Order: sequence, then C-alpha cells, then structure tokens
Amino acid sequence: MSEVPVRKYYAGGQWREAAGGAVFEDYEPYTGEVFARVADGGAAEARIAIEAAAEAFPAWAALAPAEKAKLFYRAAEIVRRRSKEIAEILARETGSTIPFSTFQQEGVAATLEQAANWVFLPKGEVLQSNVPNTHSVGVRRPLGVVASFLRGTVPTSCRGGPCSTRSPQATPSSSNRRSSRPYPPD
Amino acid sequence: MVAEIAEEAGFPPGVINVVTHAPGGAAVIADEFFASPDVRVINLIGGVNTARLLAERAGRTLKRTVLELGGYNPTIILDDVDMDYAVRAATFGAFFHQGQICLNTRKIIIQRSIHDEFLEKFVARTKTLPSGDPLDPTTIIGPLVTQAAVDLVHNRVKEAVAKGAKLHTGGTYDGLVYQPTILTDVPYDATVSNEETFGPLVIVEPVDTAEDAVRVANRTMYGLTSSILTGDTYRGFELAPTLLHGIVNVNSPTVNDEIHAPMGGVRDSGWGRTGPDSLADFTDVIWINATSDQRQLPF
Repeated sequence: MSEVPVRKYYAGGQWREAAGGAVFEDYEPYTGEVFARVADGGAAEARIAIEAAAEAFPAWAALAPAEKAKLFYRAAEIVRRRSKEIAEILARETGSTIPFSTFQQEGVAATLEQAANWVFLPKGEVLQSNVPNTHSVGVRRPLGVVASFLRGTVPTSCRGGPCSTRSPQATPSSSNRRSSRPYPPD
Repeated sequence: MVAEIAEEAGFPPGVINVVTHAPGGAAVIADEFFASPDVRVINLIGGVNTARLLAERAGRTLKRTVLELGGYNPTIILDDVDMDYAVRAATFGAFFHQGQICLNTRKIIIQRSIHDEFLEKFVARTKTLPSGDPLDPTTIIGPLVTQAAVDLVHNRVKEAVAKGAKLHTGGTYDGLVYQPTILTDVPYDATVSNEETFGPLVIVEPVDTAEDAVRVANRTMYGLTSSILTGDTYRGFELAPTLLHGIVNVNSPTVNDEIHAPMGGVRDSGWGRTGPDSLADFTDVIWINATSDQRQLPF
C-alpha cells in the first residue's frame, strides 16, 4: 500500500488546508485501512466557501448558456474518461461494488450531459394582461448560493449551478462536496 | 472527486466549492450556512431526522429547503405475477448496493396465495448472492459503509426477532459485510416496520387483496418510491395513483432511475425533484410587466 494521500478541501477554485492543518482519517470499510487523511473543515472553511460562491454568483448567472453547456459536457467527458478509476475509489472508500460504482458513473455522466441542455430551456413565460399595450412575463431567477449537505453512502452527482457542498464524513473523497453553488443555469 | 472534476472541466472559481469535515462536524458548518444571508437554499440528501432540524432552522431564517430524504419503499406483488421475474425484481430491489440506496425495497407485500412459493424462491436466490470484497467484480454484496451502519442494522434485526419476527436468511455479518436478511412475521411495533433501515434487510408480508396491499404500502409516513409487480400491467397502472409515494414503478423494481424524470418524495420523504423539474426548486419566478401607455390611476 502506497502512502496515505492527503485530501484538501476546495473553495474559490483553490485546494486548501483546513485551519491549523486539521485532518481526519477516512477508512476503507472492507479492509479497515486508512484510505485518506481529509481536511477537517469547520466554521472558517464554510465561510470561505460561502464567500467564494457569493462572489462567483453574478458572473455565473450572467454566463451565456452555450458557455455553461460546454462546462457540463467537459465534466461528463472527464467522468467517462476516469470512470474505471472513480469506480475503484468508490469501491475502496464506500464499499460499493464495482458494478454499482460503474453504473453510478454512467448516471453521473448522463446527468451532466442532460444538465448541459437544461441551460437552453425557456426561462419563463409570456403572460396575458388586462392592461392594453402591456408586455407581461414571468421570469425564473436563480435564488443564490445553494448549500448542499451530502452523505456518503451513495455516490451520486451534483446538479446545477454555484454550490457550497459539505462532504459526507464517511466518504469525503468520492463525494467531496458540501458545495456552495450559485445554482441554476439561469 | 466532484471538486477535481469541476476544476478540470473549467468551472469558474467559486461556482463549486467543497468543504469536507470529520464525523459529527456538520453542525458548525450548518451554523455558517444559516447565518449567511447569501445562502438562499439548504439542500439535503440525507435522513429525516437531520431534515427536521434543518427545516426548523430554515423556517426561522426563511431560507428555502430542498430535501431529498429516505423512504420505506414497498414492492407489491399480485397473484397474477410471473414468479421468476418477481423473485429477480425483489432481490435486486432489496439488495442492490447492500440496501444502502434510498430507493431500495424495504417491504415486500404479497398476496397470500403465492406467498409461500415466493418466499421459498426469494430466500433461495438471496442465499446465492456473492458477498465480500467490493473490488472483486463478481461481488454483489459489499460491506456497509461504517461499523455504525452494521450495528444499526443488526440491532434492528435483533429487536424484530425478539418481538417475534422469523429470520429466514442473513442476520449475521463478517467485518462490515452484512449478509442479506429476510424477515417475516414482523410486528408493527418493531423499528424495522416503521423506519428506513439502510442495509440489506427486507420484510415479506402476506395480504389477501390488492387493496390490503395498498393499505400496508401506505402505512408509514415515508413516501419515496414503490413498485407493483403484476401480470396485468393496466391493473398495476390503475392501482398506481393510490400509492402515497413520489415514484410508482409498475413492473420495475423500486430501484429505478431515469435522469430526466421528476424523482423525489412525498410526505416524510421530502420534496426535492430530479431532472428539469429541479430547476424550479432553485429559482424564483419574477413577474415583470411593462406598459407603453400611461395608466388610469385612482388618484
């Protein structure tokens, strides 16, 4: 067994150590061995993630749908390219079997590909009005920073726009996400 | 992994952030989420107890919640079913990912006339499932995620048996690998009759009629996914709306997934939805109107 890897947390596009270099040990359920030492985030790290998401929000909401779509497609390609490696990580870290892990990767890639197209969905409706010469519409607007709590029993996919995810303690590397995401594709 | 992929794909900094923490460390992070006016949505994929805590705090701070919670997912098997298919669908539904998917079958409700034959075949098939090392591609039943998960499953099995349940297979474990477990005659006051148990554990319960089956299927406050297995697809389709679950699969197992489908719960299983419907969960509709005339105003 090679050296135990250290996993940092991710906020504002940077990999960071938790304050004071705090880490916790993440165990493989089948072997009981330490799989990774993972940044043990708390209030300070959550604040950094929320601030990064809030800062990213306006530009992300304004980004052209075609540009958003490219990012989701690229993410799907990466998942497919790394599928075997990810399935093994999931098997070691969460105990999910290889067939299940592989099946989940396909689901993640398919979700990302569909999300790439959701950015082109209509963002509202043209409404009737009783007032002459009036243009009336209902327009969808993203709410803001999304805080997602994710647990580590099932490796799934992250939907949508900016988020601060908190990663499930049992399987931080695989899911690696309490995100603050400026959600939707606007 | 999510952060690595987001980074490599080129998502702008801050769009996706991931904060990891040790077991038990979520509370202080939640405090920050609730304290920040920038955070507008609290999204949880998790358990109902955590969801209640978050929803209470979200009420005080008027943040929206999108909750995707567990289920107590029934599979109803009617007496006109293809028995071999029913056994395969039940085995997959109950034991895929060793029962740790929110969509796994927790109770099989079957018409009495075919109960004994089904139980015998279901137990026999379950005993053939290979368990052990998740890295071995032939393994079907891998380990549960933590020792705490094993303890929880085992305690609930012991409690049910102490209250009179019959154990047909399973009920033992080696390391964190819990053998797939089938119980019958489980009293309604056993925890496993009422609460989602995240592990390879399923109850089989006989009923007389399809209507009785629906009543049993709607007994708990959970409402995520359900399944009706029948040789008469239209009969299944007619029964489907009477099930108080967010998903009703006729002739597919409870574990069934399409990316674009609006999957999610009702009642204690929460209210988040997958697919394009999820966009509504994370947006507000704003009414914008513009008139080119001057309005006739009351004063």
